Amino acid sequence: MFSKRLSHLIHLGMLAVLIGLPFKLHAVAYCALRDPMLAIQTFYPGFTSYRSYLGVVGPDLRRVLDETLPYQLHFNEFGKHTLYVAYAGEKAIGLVHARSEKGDWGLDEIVWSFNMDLTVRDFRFQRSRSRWKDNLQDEVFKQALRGKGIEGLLQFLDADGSKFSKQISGLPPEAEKLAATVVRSALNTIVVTEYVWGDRLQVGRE
Amino acid sequence: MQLRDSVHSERAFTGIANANNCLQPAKKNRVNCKALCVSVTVLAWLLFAPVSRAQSWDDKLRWTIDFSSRLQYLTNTSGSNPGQFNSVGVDAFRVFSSRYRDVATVNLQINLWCINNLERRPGFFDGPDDCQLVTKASFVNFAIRGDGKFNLLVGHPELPFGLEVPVSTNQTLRQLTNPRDLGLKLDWGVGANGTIGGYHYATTVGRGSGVKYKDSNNPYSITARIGKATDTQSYLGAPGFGVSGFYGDVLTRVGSISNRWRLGLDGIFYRGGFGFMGQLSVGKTDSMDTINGLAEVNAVTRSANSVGYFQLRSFNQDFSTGWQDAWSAVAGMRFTPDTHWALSFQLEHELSVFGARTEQTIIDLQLRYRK
Repeated sequence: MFSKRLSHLIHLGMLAVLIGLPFKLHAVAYCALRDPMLAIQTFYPGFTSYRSYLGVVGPDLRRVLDETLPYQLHFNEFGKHTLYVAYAGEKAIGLVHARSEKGDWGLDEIVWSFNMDLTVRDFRFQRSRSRWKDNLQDEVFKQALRGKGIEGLLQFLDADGSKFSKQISGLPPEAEKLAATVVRSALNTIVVTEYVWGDRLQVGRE
Repeated sequence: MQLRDSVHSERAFTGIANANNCLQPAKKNRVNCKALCVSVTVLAWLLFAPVSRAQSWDDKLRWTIDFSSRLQYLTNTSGSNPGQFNSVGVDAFRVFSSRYRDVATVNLQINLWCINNLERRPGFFDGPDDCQLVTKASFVNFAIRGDGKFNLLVGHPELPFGLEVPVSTNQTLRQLTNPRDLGLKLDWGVGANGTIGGYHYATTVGRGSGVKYKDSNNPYSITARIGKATDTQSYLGAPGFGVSGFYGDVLTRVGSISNRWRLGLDGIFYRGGFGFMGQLSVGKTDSMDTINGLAEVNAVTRSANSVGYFQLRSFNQDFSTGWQDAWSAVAGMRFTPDTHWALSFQLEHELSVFGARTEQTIIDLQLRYRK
């Protein structure tokens, strides 16, 4: 397609660009949930359509997280993220958002379903290699989280937010580390969603 | 009750103008280049179209610049070593929505690929030293129903066959068997897809010519897969299983037609830090019975920034002289210190090959950056 000399020049230019790139930049296009159909169909069987809302999560969010939550969050998912809104006709009936949390083997991807007032409706693991994930996807644990907002969810953690502190029937002690991760994931998602998409959700609630 | 309509920023995108370069030197490809340029321009316009009122927080567009540079060393060659493969491109994704629903998604992947002394190369390169503008997975997917159960796709998708559906092999050293098994990895065409009852289906009817649109000898491809829905595509692939079918007259790199049909079965599961995946396909290639397969074991570190894998690939065909097999063993690893950089190494050793060819060992090293 190109002459050999031009081809070599292009090679050199591409290599120079690659080598010269700075090691830390932001705004990578990253999304744990690009096709949300399985999640939306599972969470909202009666939905008729869904709409995606893209939002930019910037470094300023770190301050908000630090002010709102009792634990230090090593948040590094800056960039564009998508919030999905499920509709029944023209009525917005709920939200779907995916978050990645550090797990025992890589990242645990958790898909959250929230009511329009940002209380927990449901969740499921999209990806997790933990042997305890099925215990947490049990209806007893999910029922304990349902309807909880930030204040209610904080009751499941100790003062610094590092450990799970509630007794849940049928939940083995070994699963409590993952349970704390799930609760923190819900808290993080609520804060992020309120901060990035809050003005839109306000319109939806009215 | 409704959410506020999105408003968008005005954007200018000039990089796509490079597509016109393909019109200059090769007159024989002029028609195809025009078709490619028109398709790419339409997709790019859809992605980067200026819209009224500026708001950067909901422009519905995600895009990345993708650089990669690869060295390839062959242990048994008379040519010069190592070969080089350099790539720069854009990977963009945009959603179009009405007031209450998403109506279409556009995916665009345009790359400039340049090779130097590369013996093992895709068939559309003119020689071991060449540059080509390449359209990878680029398509519009129209949400016909709005509930995800029925969408219509137009463009240049990856064929929905086997592990290529859940596993992302875009610009990675680690590859699967579709290019050799089907003769195609991507194709220009139309398709239908959707998710119903926890299962995802996808089907395409394509030109049968692969990366470049060519209609000589009237090639075509028909591909379909149904499998457990996963919501995402990733390097290691979400766990699940699928069944696939393929039928087509595939245009080969020398311009002839290869008639093929395949039935395939694929699956992925994980246990702790280990992952297991496999694909088996049976069918015919030009009336000759064919059985092909891939088995992989992979392992990930606790931090998930390093992945190692071992693959066995097997191609078996009943030629007029009897069955022949081509086996290869592949070992590789990928180190991703952050979401931008990936350093990959792979060693492929051919244990047996078809015909009188000589077994080869191929060593690849690749550095990739996505911003």
